[in-house]
Order: sequence, then C-alpha cells, then structure tokens
Amino acid sequence: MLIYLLRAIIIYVVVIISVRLMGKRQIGQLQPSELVITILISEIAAIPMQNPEVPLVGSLIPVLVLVCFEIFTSALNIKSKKFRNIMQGNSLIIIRDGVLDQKQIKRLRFSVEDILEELRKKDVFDISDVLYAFAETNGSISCILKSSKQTATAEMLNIQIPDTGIPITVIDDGVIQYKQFCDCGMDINKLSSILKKNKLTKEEILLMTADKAGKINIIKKDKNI
Amino acid sequence: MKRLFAAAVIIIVILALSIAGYYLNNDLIDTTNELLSQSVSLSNREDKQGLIDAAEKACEYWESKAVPVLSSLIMHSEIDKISYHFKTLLLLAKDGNFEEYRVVCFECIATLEHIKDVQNPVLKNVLHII
Repeated sequence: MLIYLLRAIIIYVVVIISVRLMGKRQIGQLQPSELVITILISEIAAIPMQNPEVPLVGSLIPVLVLVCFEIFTSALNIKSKKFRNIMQGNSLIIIRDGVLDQKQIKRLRFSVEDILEELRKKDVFDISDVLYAFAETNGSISCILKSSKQTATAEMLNIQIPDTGIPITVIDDGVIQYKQFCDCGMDINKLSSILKKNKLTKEEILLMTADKAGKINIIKKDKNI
Repeated sequence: MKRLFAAAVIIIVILALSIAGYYLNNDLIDTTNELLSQSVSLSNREDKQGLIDAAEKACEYWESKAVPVLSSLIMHSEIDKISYHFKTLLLLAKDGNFEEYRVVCFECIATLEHIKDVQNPVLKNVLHII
C-alpha cells in the first residue's frame, strides 16, 4: 500500500515539473506534437503507478525525455520556418469573401457542419458574413467578418472612452492585496478612508475591487454562512 | 533559453545515467554469474562445506549488491524469480544435493545472461524482435 502511495507521489512531482518545464503554451494551445506528448505522458506515468512490478525509472525517463524533446522541438520551431511547417503545418484559408474553399475543406477532412459549428461559437451564423476564415494549425478556426458586418467600435464612431483599466482585487476574503495596489492607484490611506466611509473592517469584506478610474466594488461577507 | 538549457542538462544526465546503468548492470550480472560458476565447480568436486560457503557468498552478493541496482532497471518479477533460485540453491547446497544444485544454478545463470542480453542497446532489443 505504502509503495503505491510513494510511487504516486514521485510520479505526480515529476509530471508536474515536466508540464511546468514545457511551459504555459502547452496548456493554452495544443499543437499536434504537443497533444501527442500530453497523451503519451499521461499514459506512461499511469503504468508504474498501477503496477509496482514496473521499475519507476522505466516511466520517469521516458516522461523526461519526451518533455526535453518537446522543448527542443519548440526551440527549433521558433528558429526554422521549414521545420515549423513540417511539425505543425500551415494555416489555410477555408472561406474567402463568404465562399467556402471546397478543395481545402476536402484536404483538411472538415465537414461543412464542423466549420459552421466553429463559426457559431464565434457568434457567426451566416457564412456569407465572413470575409476570411482560417483553419489554424491547432485545428481551430479563426475568422474576420466583412466590414459591413463587424461590430462598431468606439474608434469607428469617433467616441472617446476613458481607459479605466481592469478591476483589481484590493481585498480578498479579508486579506489586503498590497502587491496589486499600484495597478489601481490605491494606497493604504485611501483604502482606510473607503473602509471608514462604508463603516467596514477588512475582515468583513469578501471581495473589494478597484479600477484606475476609482470605481470601487465591495462584496460583504455573509455572516450567516 | 533557460528551459532549453534545463532540457539539455536533463538529457545529458539521463544519457550518462543510462550508460552507467548499462555497464553497472553488466558488471553485476557478470560477477554474480562468476560466483555461481565457482560454486558449480565446487559441486562437481562434491565439496559440501565449500559449496555452502560459495552459495552463501553468491546469495549475499545478489541480495546486497545486485538487487538494489537491478530492481530499478528490470521488472521486479524477474528479480523475484532469481531471488527464489538463490534461496533454492542455498537449501540444495545445505542438503548436499549436488546434481539438483547444478541444474538450478545453470537455470539461474541462463536467466541472468538473458537479462543481460535484453538490456543490450542493439536494434533487436530496441525493436523487440523475437
């Protein structure tokens, strides 16, 4: 029993270090090679966890080797466009001016329904609204709408909107987040006066956010919970 | 760049450990087999006390030196199988059953040789061609 526990802990630590070593790219956007590596790591790591007969080294070494080679491949992808094309392929245009490129769709083995589904996810319900759509190397579809169908922006309407930044957490579950003060123009004196004005102590606050424009949002803790 | 460096270091360390592990594995198996071969010649001479001493020496070497290293490289069922052979050898030596001792001893040597062979980094083993 203890052997299973210890082996699971060791494998957990190694897999976490490996995934961290691969970087954030791994989580956000899986390229074909990264998808393969992720599946392989989970498979290899599971074997010695379930079967104490298998030496731990027999799993840890392949995991580390795969991660290292993934890092080398990523570095080569950045250095060489040719290598990148071999490993990841190219983005392809599948819709031009509202018309599906049937040749490319056939080549990519996409069904029309697949494309319509991806477009719907981007709030595009009519294919004729699309100026260009690309099949990206990670299999997702990105598109740009015809100018007449694009959402009007403040710039298009010549409206000046002040930049308020994003709401920054000032108090999280009764704890003041000093590190984030400078991002929202907050200081301890200002915070004290806001708390005094609202007749609150920091311990009574579940969440307090502030933005650069000085907009404050306070959510009090529910005393009944 | 830091990640690339870390990956390069890990690969170098793994490569070094793999090469060292390969030679260590061969060395441990060769020494064990040598000790077993010596005990076989004692069983041929039907020297019971000498055989008991030789079997104990081989068994001790296997348990204290070979098992800790080999268990990290090969399947534990293989290790258990050989350990069982060694225990049988000790009992046979104490019993003075020289003929049966030789049979088990050769089986043990053959198993160890097989383990050594399958650890060789040759194409046959890499592709697992039977």
